[in-house]
Amino acid sequence: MQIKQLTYTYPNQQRSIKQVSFDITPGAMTAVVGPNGSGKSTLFKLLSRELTPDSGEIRLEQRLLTDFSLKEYARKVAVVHQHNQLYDDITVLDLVRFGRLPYHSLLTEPDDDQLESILTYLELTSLKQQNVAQLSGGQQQRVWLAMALAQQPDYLLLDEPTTYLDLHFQASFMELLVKLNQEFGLTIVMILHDLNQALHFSQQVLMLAAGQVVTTGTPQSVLTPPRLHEIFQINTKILTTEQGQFIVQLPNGATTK
Amino acid sequence: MAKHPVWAYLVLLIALLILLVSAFLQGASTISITSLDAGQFNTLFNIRLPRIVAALVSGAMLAVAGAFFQAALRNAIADPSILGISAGASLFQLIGGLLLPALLFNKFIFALIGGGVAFLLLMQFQKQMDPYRLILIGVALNAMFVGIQQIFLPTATTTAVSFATSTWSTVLFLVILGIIGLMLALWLAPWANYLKIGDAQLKTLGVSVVWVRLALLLVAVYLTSTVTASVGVLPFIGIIVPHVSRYFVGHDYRQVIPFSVLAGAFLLLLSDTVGRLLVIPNEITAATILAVIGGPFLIFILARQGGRRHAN
Repeated sequence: MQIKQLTYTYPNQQRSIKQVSFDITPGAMTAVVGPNGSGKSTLFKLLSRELTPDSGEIRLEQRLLTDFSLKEYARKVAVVHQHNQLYDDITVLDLVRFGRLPYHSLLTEPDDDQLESILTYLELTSLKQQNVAQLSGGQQQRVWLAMALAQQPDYLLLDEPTTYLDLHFQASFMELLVKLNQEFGLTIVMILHDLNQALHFSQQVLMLAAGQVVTTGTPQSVLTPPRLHEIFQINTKILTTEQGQFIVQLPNGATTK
Repeated sequence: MAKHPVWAYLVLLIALLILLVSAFLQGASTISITSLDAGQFNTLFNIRLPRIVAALVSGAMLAVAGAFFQAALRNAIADPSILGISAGASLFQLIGGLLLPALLFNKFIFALIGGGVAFLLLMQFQKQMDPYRLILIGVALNAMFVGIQQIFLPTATTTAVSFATSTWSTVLFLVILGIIGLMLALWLAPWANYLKIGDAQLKTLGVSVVWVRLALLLVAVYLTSTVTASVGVLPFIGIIVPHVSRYFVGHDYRQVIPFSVLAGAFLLLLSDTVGRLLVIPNEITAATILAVIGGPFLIFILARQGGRRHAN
């Protein structure tokens, strides 16, 4: 997926992204990070086709996004939102089955292809007749992920997927994404708030600020204390342990080494 | 949320059958089916039967219209009468009858236009579709249409709401239009399920949200307007029946719609029959009976909703 000179300004002129260019490596896990208002969500909406760019282009397999029909695109790219809206009671199985909609015309009902194996993979089989709204936050997020996987996509876009989860579910959800990436070669693009998640779970990081690209590269090269200070105005230190590296935030006023 | 729809359908069908038989045989003159004279035959097959058929079809249509309004507007208390759709259709069909009395099917055509106009006004004033504001605007529109109708056509309003005048010629048209609408609704029932998730999410599944919503609303307006043109405004069926249906068969619209067809038919025939039998030889209209039971039911739903958890 190639993003070239992408520019978008909201109608109220308050926020925008300008001239964003970036290549998403197929088969990799890519994290998009940046402070609030940096344009992460705007970029996400442009990639998920909720918004149409003012200028610039996004290409998938050399084709412009606008050349794909919505259905065709939905077979390639699946989306998990930060806030998943549900307006009525629905069972896990029925919701996950919506993931098959891209393979059908509206006049035929979606099939059950692969649904059982997806539910088993995400440990949702025992919950499949449950009402989604009554599940825990972590379970709900897995249901939405299951729906996205039912689309059998090549790309998975996630907007801050762990924001509403407690620490236990955050870790297990991120590990699940790694497993999907490694076992099925799924390309994952995720907007992350938690910089340690970006450090641990991605191979590629895109850092945005004020609607523009600050830098891109490996997590270790992008998420350095001086840059975090510059962009997030936080003092940090990289802690190296046997389990890997961690970004530790220090109190304001403390000096970084 | 496992429900047992088979039992619910079975009980409802038996109740419907019992109701049908008693509605057929009971009335100002109670008739024994074994010894019929010509006059009684006429009462049964040319007065009572068309009236029963009209009530069954109208009830089914309004119940389904309510379910579709609720799904498409994502609003649990949307109902064609509360939203002002019925009143708009009613006003326009009376105007149509006055302006172009010779036009074939003028009542149905004008009712459809009226329902559509009411709906467009509703959408115009409330683009964000905040559930409670939408209802309040619907209530205001409803009052406005009823008011206009009373100013211009003070006598017409009271005569419209009754099945007492149903004859085969008026009922036949309703039945044909009704069956077309109900078949369409049964076919589109899965679409109502799709709108349980947000528009942005639905779009990422390659579904055209606009078309799905528009199709459901058009069918709902069509069903409402057709009933209104034939038998007048009948309140609250569209809210009572889908809610009761969800209680018995769950929230899947592939179950809610067929169950609402039967339950709507049952409720309206029950209301009409009770109204017919309660104060013989006079009648209480089905609309009055529905208003009396529908009001408290709406309050009950609102009270229950207040305490209910909201998804996310």
